[in-house]
Amino acid sequence: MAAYRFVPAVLALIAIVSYPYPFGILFAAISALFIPPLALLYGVLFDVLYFVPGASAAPLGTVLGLIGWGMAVVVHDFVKTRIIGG
Amino acid sequence: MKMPFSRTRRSQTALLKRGSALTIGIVLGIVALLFMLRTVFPGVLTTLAAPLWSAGNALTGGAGDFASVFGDKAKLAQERDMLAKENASLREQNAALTARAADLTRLLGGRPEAANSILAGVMVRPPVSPYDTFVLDAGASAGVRAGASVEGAGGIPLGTIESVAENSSRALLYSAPGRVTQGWVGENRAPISLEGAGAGAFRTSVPRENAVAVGEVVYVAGPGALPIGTVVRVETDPSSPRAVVHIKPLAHLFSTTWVTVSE
Repeated sequence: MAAYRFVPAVLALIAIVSYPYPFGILFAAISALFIPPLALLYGVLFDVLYFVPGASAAPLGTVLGLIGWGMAVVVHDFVKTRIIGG
Repeated sequence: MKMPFSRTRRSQTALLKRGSALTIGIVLGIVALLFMLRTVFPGVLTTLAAPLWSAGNALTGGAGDFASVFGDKAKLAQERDMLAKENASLREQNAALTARAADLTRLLGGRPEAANSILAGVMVRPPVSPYDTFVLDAGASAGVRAGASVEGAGGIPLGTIESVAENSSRALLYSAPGRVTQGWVGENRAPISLEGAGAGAFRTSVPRENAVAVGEVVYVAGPGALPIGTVVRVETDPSSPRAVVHIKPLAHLFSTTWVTVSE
């Protein structure tokens, strides 16, 4: 697996703990395009670090992470098919 | 020996599938570990993330200082003079109000017990935290308990402690989206239900005949009525009997660095 795929993953990790959350979401979304399950991982990380009961009806990070994973798989497979199939 | 093309491709596909399954397995394992750590050892992740949060805070402060180099010096000096005057005026006003409060306390009697407060540093605040929560550097070992109230500079109420670890705690702010807090608005203390709108802001709806005006102060219950924000916009619709009131917080959550936690 090429090393460049891990660059957005590392940036997402840094952004989640140090920068306003839209940056974390952006980098998590980009990294999920290369490694789809990372969407769930970063969603859970958001919740583990910042969620408290009462903040919202459901832990949105985890929910959005699951949705993001699904979407990333679709995009990932589509892109792969296009590249391999021509 | 040369391998046929179809066989090479099949073995590559099998390798890719195995690699994907391994990646998913690793990620799910980390997810399970994170959940377990948060449930069983709630303070561990906070301790691990604390140096990164501190570095982020320092970086943000440093960027602010660096940006100020490019500011207009004359304008800054003018602003400083204006703030100095405002500060002097507020100091006088504060002295007058303190004297008045002391007179009233003497007249009516004060609370016999002093409220115990714990000073806590804010490690994470919005907008880094997406849920309108603070992560504080004081936990059970410092005497912080779930349900305690969190106040900013000047005793402005900010929220309540929702979860406590040994050396850290998390506070849910009154402005968290959807959180409802009872309060009052204006000099005549008209009762309202404040709904959190995120990033420190609130909104509420009042009957149109209540005539809430821009600039009126909004209070929540504490020891007495504690100011929490001011009305910045009132939206009325001729077809609706109620007006939507938008409230700006008195405390700037994005730059809050210290809070007090009290029972």
